[in-house]
Amino acid sequence: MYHYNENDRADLQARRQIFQHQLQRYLDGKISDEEFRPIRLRQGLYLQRHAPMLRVAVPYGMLSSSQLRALARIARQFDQGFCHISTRQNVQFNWIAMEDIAEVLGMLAEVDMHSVQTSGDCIRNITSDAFAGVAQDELIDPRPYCELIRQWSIGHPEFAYLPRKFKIAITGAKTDRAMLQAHDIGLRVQQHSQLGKGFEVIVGGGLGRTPVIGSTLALFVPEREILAYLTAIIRVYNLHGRRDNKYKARIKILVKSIGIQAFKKQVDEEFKHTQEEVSFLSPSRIDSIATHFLPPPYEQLDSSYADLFLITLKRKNPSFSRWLKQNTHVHKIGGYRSVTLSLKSPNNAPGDVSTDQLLAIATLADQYSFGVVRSTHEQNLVLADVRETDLYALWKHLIQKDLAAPTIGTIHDIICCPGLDYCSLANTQSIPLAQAIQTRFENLDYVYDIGDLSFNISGCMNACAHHHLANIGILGVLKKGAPYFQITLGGRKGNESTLGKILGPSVAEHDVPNAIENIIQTYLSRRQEDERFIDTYLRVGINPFKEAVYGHAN
Amino acid sequence: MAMQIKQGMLIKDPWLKVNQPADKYRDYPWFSIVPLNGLHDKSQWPLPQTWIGAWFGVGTELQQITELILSLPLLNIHVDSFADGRAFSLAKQLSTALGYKGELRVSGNFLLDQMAQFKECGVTSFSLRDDSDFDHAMYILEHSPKREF
Repeated sequence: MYHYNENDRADLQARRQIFQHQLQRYLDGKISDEEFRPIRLRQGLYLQRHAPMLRVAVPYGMLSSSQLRALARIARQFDQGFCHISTRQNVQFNWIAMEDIAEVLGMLAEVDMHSVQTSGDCIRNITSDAFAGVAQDELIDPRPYCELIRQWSIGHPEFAYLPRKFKIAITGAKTDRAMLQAHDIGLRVQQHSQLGKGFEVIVGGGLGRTPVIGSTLALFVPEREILAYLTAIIRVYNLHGRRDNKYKARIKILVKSIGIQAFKKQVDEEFKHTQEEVSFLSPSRIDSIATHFLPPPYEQLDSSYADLFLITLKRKNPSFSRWLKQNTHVHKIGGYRSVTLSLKSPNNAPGDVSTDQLLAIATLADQYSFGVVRSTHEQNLVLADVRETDLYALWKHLIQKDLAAPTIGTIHDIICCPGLDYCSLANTQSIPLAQAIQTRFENLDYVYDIGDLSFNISGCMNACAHHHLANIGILGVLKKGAPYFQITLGGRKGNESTLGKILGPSVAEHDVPNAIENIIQTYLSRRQEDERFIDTYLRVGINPFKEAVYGHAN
Repeated sequence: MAMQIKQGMLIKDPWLKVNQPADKYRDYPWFSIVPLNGLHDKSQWPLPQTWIGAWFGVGTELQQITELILSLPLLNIHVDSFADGRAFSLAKQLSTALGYKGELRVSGNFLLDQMAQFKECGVTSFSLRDDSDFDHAMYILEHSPKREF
């Protein structure tokens, strides 16, 4: 992973000192709430229901074990003994007092972490594929580009007061695990036969109140031109995006209103200028960043021995076998697998991780996965480089820490926003509903029979849990002050990103588990052979599901 | 006389912003910063005064900044709301795409905390209210890290 150099540390130190100065001025009453608001937000500080919420940046989901330990210390000392993994791979604390913020930022800085640009109308943390660098279907490791764009976007002077927040995701794999089409800009790293490395540029995606699947703006932008091209896109947006209505201020609205071709024309026009003003990316710069992402010292392992080892263990232990199937993933290096640590135990809110768990994961990362952990947008953690022969020992440790729920990719693996329990924007609670669904589907054999399914719950139309892209999506709404939930079906993320369709009128909170049970039963009764939920839905359409929930299709 | 920060120094501001365009451009006092629409009549150019500037809002299109306007010694972006980040892109376009080499100024309702960002976008002077916290302004300018890009 990327290691800060002295310049990075000096930059972070300077930004932290400036913020402390600004915070002190605010606490001294020298600036108004209104003036302090954008400054506070750019430091990832939200005023939430209980205390300020501090969102800590996890650049493209990469965390070292020492960073995990620092997060654990903060959780223990300043929070209530846990933190939360967000759907943008960041870490959130919900209980830190404003007067403690400066000290917490200092603790983060000691391990090269910060909260800069995790909120506010600026370029946010860059996100990526949680399996970058280890996935078998990867063509080019996107992380050096993630890091480059992180460095370029942090403190970008021109783009600190955009019409609205701006999110960039990058992948280098055939399968899009970074939700490119749900971002303001999505970049797919590619290798051109003549032009070398470069990017397909997707623009104008986003969820929230107006969900839009992003469109391709450029099929190939050469690597050396990418920063100038990004500058052109974001400048056009900065100058022409709407500022009169924050719900219509994202780039997706601008692109939709003028059309992708007209938008492209404006970007191309601006690109003529930005090519002059933004220095081309030199190969040495990207090469120097890439040295931080060289493969760790993998051992030459005998896969056949590992296979035999695992087959024996699987026979002896069905629980291990289930976990191995659900929670571990093929690795590009023989003899290794990637392991997802589930943060979806029914005992916890989805995505929450305790001090004790953080410390244990740090130790396990050091012991089994070169000291590195990744956060996923599905709100889990990943140890990316585990020897297959270590899997059984690792699983034993994970069970002890309640991190081995063998349900990754199932109806239990619910992506869930913090909801009304924490968030001041939410309409409804999300966490109790997630727990109710997990309880309703508590029989694991039943869960496995249902199979691959994405299930996301957003507590309001800001859609932090990306419910539009879930096979089954739930959105909390208010009806005459009472919490109701709208159900969408058929959403998909990845290469065939599709927005889900609203099933019908929203249902009362206590009716949601029954409605979901009816949907699942409809799927099970209509599926053919090993068809996944989404495939059955695509084949039979939405009407059978409507009938199952409402008694009629209209 | 109001204050300005120019080239990192706090100095008294010789310039005066004029809000209404004059029919006859020769009537503008020296060191006036004149609204852009008060300088469009080409027949009145060249101006008899050496020291005249132009001010305009953040929504100004680049096409409105003609060669004549670019020949002025001072251009002033006036900010109505500190949240309106078009000011940064406009400053960048003026200083790069249009290659403006004179004094590029920001006035109005900007935050002192934004000054380093404006400076990086090519702004060279700031018009400050008399009640501004000048120490904080200088602190921001002196301590903000400079990016490598």
